[in-house]
Amino acid sequence: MITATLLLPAIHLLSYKDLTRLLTNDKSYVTPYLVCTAIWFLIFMDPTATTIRLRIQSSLGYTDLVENLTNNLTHLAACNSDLVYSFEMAVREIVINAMQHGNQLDPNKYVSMQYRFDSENFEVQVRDEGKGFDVERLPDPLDPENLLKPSGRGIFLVRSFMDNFSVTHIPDKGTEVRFDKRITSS
Amino acid sequence: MITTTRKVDNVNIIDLSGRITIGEGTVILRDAVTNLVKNQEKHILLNLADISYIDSSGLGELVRCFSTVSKDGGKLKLLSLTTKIRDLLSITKLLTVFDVYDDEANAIKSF
Repeated sequence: MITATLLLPAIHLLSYKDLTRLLTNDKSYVTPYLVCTAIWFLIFMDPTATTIRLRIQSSLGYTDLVENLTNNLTHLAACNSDLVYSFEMAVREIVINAMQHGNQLDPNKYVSMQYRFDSENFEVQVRDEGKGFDVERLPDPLDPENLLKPSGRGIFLVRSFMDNFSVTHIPDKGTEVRFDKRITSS
Repeated sequence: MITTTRKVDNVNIIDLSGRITIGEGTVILRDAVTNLVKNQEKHILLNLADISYIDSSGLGELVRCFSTVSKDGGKLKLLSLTTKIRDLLSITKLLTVFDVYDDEANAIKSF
């Protein structure tokens, strides 16, 4: 927590160009201008939890950036390597779904994200501007009829790796997917 | 993702390196397998030893490639899965679809 308290304000004070270098290995995807227009950080120094918010355009080019951010934040939360992998995977799947299915890859539509973690739990919220879906009506990818289908496994994988998963449609605002996992063994 | 193809005893081995994820990774895999199928190759072994990550789209592409090869009367098998990728295939029951080998020689013999 002390590390987060010292580190996060430092990140907030970095220039957007430094943020780009910090978060992505491939500068061709994001220029300082795109970062300024597509992303802003709100960092709240909640004494009981750290909250970080992010808003990005619906472009699959940002998925690596989001994955890198998730990697950084889960390490900040002292997650072990298995948890880091689980959250990277889950965030990537849900963000891609939000961009592709929720926002139809419309660059004028945004995906809003919130990471919130403390010493015991790590939670991610992803909101798109779409009409939502009924998670219980999704085809079961384990059904023998669906095993050879080339799609339909993303949500299933996220639910397999996370402790909790929910989908909420907010009329006129969009759809929010929330998932979390305990990060301490105690 | 990077691919190289070699042939051993009538088996085409595609050595994959990197990540099989939505976009570039899945397209590269699809093209590599499609090219072999177009050239009437029936025996394809995907070497995943150097694949660090597969997302759900990557899993879907593996399935699509399997179906493409199978429909053409061929066989597509997997070699050298990392623990995490094996877990993914297990969770999604895709281990019941693919023949998976840890040893290249045994994989080649199986065709």
